[in-house]
Order: sequence, then structure tokens, then C-alpha cells
Amino acid sequence: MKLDWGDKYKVGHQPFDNQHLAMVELIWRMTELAEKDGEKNAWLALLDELISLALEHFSEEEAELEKRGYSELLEHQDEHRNLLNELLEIRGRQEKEGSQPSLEVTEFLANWMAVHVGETDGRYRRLFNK
Amino acid sequence: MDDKYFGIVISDREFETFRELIYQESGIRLRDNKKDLLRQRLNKRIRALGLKTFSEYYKLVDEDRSRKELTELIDAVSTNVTSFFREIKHFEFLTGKAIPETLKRKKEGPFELRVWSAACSTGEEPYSMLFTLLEHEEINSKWKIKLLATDISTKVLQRAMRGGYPATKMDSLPGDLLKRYFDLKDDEYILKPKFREMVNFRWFNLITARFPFKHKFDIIFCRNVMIYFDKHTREELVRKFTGAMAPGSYLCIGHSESLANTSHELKYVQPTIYQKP
Repeated sequence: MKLDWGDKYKVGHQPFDNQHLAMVELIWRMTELAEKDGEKNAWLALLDELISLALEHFSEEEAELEKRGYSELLEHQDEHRNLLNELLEIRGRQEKEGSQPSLEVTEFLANWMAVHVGETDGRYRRLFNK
Repeated sequence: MDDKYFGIVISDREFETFRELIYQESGIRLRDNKKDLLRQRLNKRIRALGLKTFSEYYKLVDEDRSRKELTELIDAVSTNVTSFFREIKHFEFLTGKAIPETLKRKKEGPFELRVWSAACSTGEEPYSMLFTLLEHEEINSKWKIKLLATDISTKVLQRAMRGGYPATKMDSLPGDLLKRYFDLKDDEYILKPKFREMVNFRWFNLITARFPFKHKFDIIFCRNVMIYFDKHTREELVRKFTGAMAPGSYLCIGHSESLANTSHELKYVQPTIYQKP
């Protein structure tokens, strides 16, 4: 099932909205691959692309939030770190065990995006609404 | 060392000793990026005690047989953002699936819903669970709600038990719920006493404690806890939860957490939701 990505996920800062959408589109592609039992190398390439997109986006977002004196920065960074750790763990496991594209992984990622962007990022929206 | 700008400074070696102590006592594995947090949070405490270095403070914590100071220390590092109905999908799942199933499973009695918020923080999570249960149309007066809420931090427990929240932090709560469950007093929403009394708050260390429960739970929330733990600690904790769950009951974990790399006997339902077979 594809994650619905509507206006409720907008955070009030266009560059971040674009980056979120790019990550979501990658997760869609991974989902499609998992649904049709796609090829393992293509899957790993998408996973790697997601990791680098996430790294890039998180550091940009954290820098901007720090600049604006965001009071929940530390906790926000924690959520980013936790996902990156999980992603790296998934990556390591997939490579080692040679596992196939997995819907459990894409469902986890889609849910993470929905909660993190929809709820956690939503808390900094007021910084950009001035 | 006391620096003008940073206050009392913590060395890498001192951070290591604290990290080890905190891990032994709580299972919380502090990452390197928590060094600054530890320094900031403990500076005031160290000064208040009339001490000059982190090493002196460590000695005091280590030698305090009442373990009071240790609790202060764990309080200082176990922080989390929380809000009412955080991870809304879990509450939708309770309403649409977990609660109706539990009622059906227990239709011959006992007419009790046993629910546990295992890392309840300042109370937003257990109270959101309580509202979800009370608002459920299938739960009538014949059912008793047994809601346990525990945390390792005494400080957050005190705040949870008081049930007061700044008006600015209530965005995630629908207006009608706000009216029904809270009194507004000087920019603060305070949970009405009769609802506050429905939640049983207890201090509880998930890692070191043996689970003492006589009756099995129908629903357990343990969110944003396992991210602190290594694989072994996580597996041990899930094993203990599984032992405390009724067949058909559910465990909800946080959105950054997954049991995919953890060996367990639960059934995967959807992301972050697991069921005991």
C-alpha cells in the first residue's frame, strides 16, 4: 500500500517539503519493488539513496532549526539519529542475509515518515509562520 | 575543571564512567551526542551539592546507599518529547481493533480491561489511553478499566500524577475532550480529579525489575524506550512483556523502533504493533 502524502504533511518551509517528498517518493519506489518481488540490487540501491537523502535533509533541517533557536532541537535530533541507526541496521542486515525487498521495511519507513513529518516536524511549523 | 562559559566541564573519561553507571542501572545506553546534555543538566545539581567536578559527583552517586542521587541522575538523562495522542495511529488501532477484540475475548469475564503505559513520562500517553477507553462506545459500566502507568523517572511521574499541562501544549487534543476531562486554571489545563484517579502511577524499572504482575495485560504501550537499549536488553525486555501479555493482546512500540532484528514470539501486525499469539 502506498503512503498518502497530502498537504497535512507540509511544514511551512518549501525546501524541507520538497526534501520530504523526495524521501517519500523513494519509499514509494521501494514499495513497488517489494510488491512485485523486485530485484535485490535495485532494492539495495534505493535503500542507499534513501540513507544519503535522509542524511542530507536531516543535517540541513537541524542547522536551520538551530539557527532559529528551536527549543526542542535535541529531542528532534534524537528522532533523526534513531531512524538513521535503524536504517543502517536494516542495510547491514539486508546485505549480510541477502534478504529480498521487504514490505515490512517499507511499511516501517512509511509509518516513520508519517509520524515524524506529520507530528514531530509539525511542532516547528510556527518558526516559519512568522 | 570549572570553565567560565561551560561551567563544570566533563571529560571523556568521566562521561564514560557515567555512561556505564547509567547503563547498569537503567539499561539506557547514552550516545556520544549526549555528553553535552549530561553536562548541562548536571551542572546545577553538582553546584547545589557544593561539589566541583563530575568525578566528585560520581563518587557521591556511587556511595549513596539510599539511591536517591542515582534517581536524580537518571531523571536528568531520560527526556522525551511527548504530547496527547502522539502517534495517533496507535489510538485509532485501540478504538478500531484492540478494544473491540478484547471485549469479545473477555465476554464471559473477567470484565476488566488491563492496560499498561510502560514508559508514561509526564502522563500524556496514559491519559490519552484513558480518554480512548472512556470514549469507546462499546465499553459500558460493566467493564472496569485497570490502567497502570509506570516510568523510571520520579520527576516525570510527579508531573504525570498532578495532571497539569500548559494551555499552549494542548493542540493535539480535540476541544470536546479538553472540556470533558480538564479544568482550565490560569493558562493551565488540569485533569479533573475523578479521571486522574483512574490511572495507577508507579515507579518502575523495566530493566532491573522482575515483572510482578498477577494478571495479564490486554494492551501494552512501550514507546521510545527500546531506542535506548542494545539488542540483548531489548530481547530480554520483549520476553518479559510477552510473559505479561494475554493471548491475543497487543504491544505498541515507538515509530523509530522495530522488532525486526530482535528475536521474539510476537506476531507482526503492522509497523510498531505486535500481537501475542
